[in-house]
Order: sequence, then structure tokens, then C-alpha cells
Amino acid sequence: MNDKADKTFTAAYAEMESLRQTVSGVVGSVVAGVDGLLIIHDLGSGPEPHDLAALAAATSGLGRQTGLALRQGAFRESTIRSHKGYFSVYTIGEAALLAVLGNDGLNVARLHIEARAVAGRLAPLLDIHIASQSRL
Amino acid sequence: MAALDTALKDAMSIDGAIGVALVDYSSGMTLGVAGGSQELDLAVAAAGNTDVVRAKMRTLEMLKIADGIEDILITLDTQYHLIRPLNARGGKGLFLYLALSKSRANLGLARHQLRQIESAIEI
Repeated sequence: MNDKADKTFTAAYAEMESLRQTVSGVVGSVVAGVDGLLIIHDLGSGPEPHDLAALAAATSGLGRQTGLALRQGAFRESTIRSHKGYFSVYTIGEAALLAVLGNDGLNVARLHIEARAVAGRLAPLLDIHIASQSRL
Repeated sequence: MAALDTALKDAMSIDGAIGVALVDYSSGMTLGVAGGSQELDLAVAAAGNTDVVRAKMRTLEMLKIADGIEDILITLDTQYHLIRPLNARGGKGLFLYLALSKSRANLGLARHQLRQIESAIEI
């Protein structure tokens, strides 16, 4: 089981790395469960990854409620733009979230295109990982 | 004084036009598109070319050239891609992106027409 998890993480790190390389303005990203617990991150110094994981879950909770209230279906993604940067959350399958931190110069259209693809590729990887976790 | 849709339609009437988009280069988002095809996804092209425009602007800054970009021409094997930042009031931060078929387009004429379309756009 450990071997499988290692492979999952290596692949996921590669996806997050590619996101940072291809989209200008991406500072880093975290993968979290919908419960707000951190799974992996590629943030260097800067904000606390556990905080971002919790924020991602809170954002998806708000998105889920909005979708329910407006009868627009399940939550898919949300982008928050603040004065000095961006915080975008994308669903990975049912149980996980990809949260991307961007600076003020983020190419947000490019991020949407790339991050949706990354989330799509992470979904089958993380399903295996989440299935092996008893807490989820 | 052309509305956005008219401007995009005019751009598509340029000989050899494959697709055109008006793009906000602070976000990479499109304000409007016309044309495009299976092979040319204009949303992807807009986001990608945003990086091109930003890179050129950064380069000019690094070279300390106090000048603006009139247009950027990218020549492919079978296509021309023309990028033209808007100078009009209210058009700051936007650029027009036009993809042309190399075999069907007249580059000089297309560039001239795009200049006219750009100057007539009012957001």
C-alpha cells in the first residue's frame, strides 16, 4: 500500500509542479480533502498549507450551498480575487480539492484551462489514495 | 464607434480569417470571440497569447524602451497570428488576436484592416 501511495504522491507533485511552471503567477497549490485536511502541497515559504487546505474546504462549502440554493448542481470551482492575489479552488472527484494560490499577475484564464485538466488527472490517482485512508 | 460584435464580425470578414478574439491581458479572459475551430480553441489561444503579450511588454521594460507595441506578428508554417493591443480610451489592457490562413490571407491588407477595426472599437 505504501508503494502505491508513494507513486500517487510523485505523480501528484509532478502535476502541481507543471501547474506552477506553465501558468504565470502561480505561487503554489495544495490538495486537500473536502474535510479541510491537507493531503499534499508544493508551497515553499509563505502561507501555511494547512490553512489553505481549510480555506479550500470552506470555499467549497460555500460553493456547495450556493449550488444547492440556486439548484445549479454540485460545486465545481471557485475563484477569489483579492487586492494582491488569487485563490482558486477546483474539485478533484468527490472527496478532494485542488486549491491554487496565485499572485496579482496570475493568468487566470490559463489557470482555469490547466487546473481543470490537472484536477481531472488527479481524480483517479487520489481515489486510490483516499480509498486506502481510513479517516475519509 | 463599432460595437464589439460588429468589430469581431468585421475581423472575421478579413480574407483568410480563421478566428478572432478580444482578450483582457490582465486575466487572459476573452471579452468576445468569433470563428475558431476544433483545431483552434480561441479560449486557449487567448490565455496562451496573454503570456506572449506580457513577455514582450516586460522585455521592453527591461530594455528601457519607452515605446508601445503596435502589433505582434507570429508566422507559422500555415498560419499568421496577429496580436494588436488596443490603444483607444477604455481599451487599455486589451488586445485583439487574429488567426489567418497563410494561403488565403493578404498579410499587408489584413494588418491594415485590423488597424482600422482596432481604432473603431469602443468598449
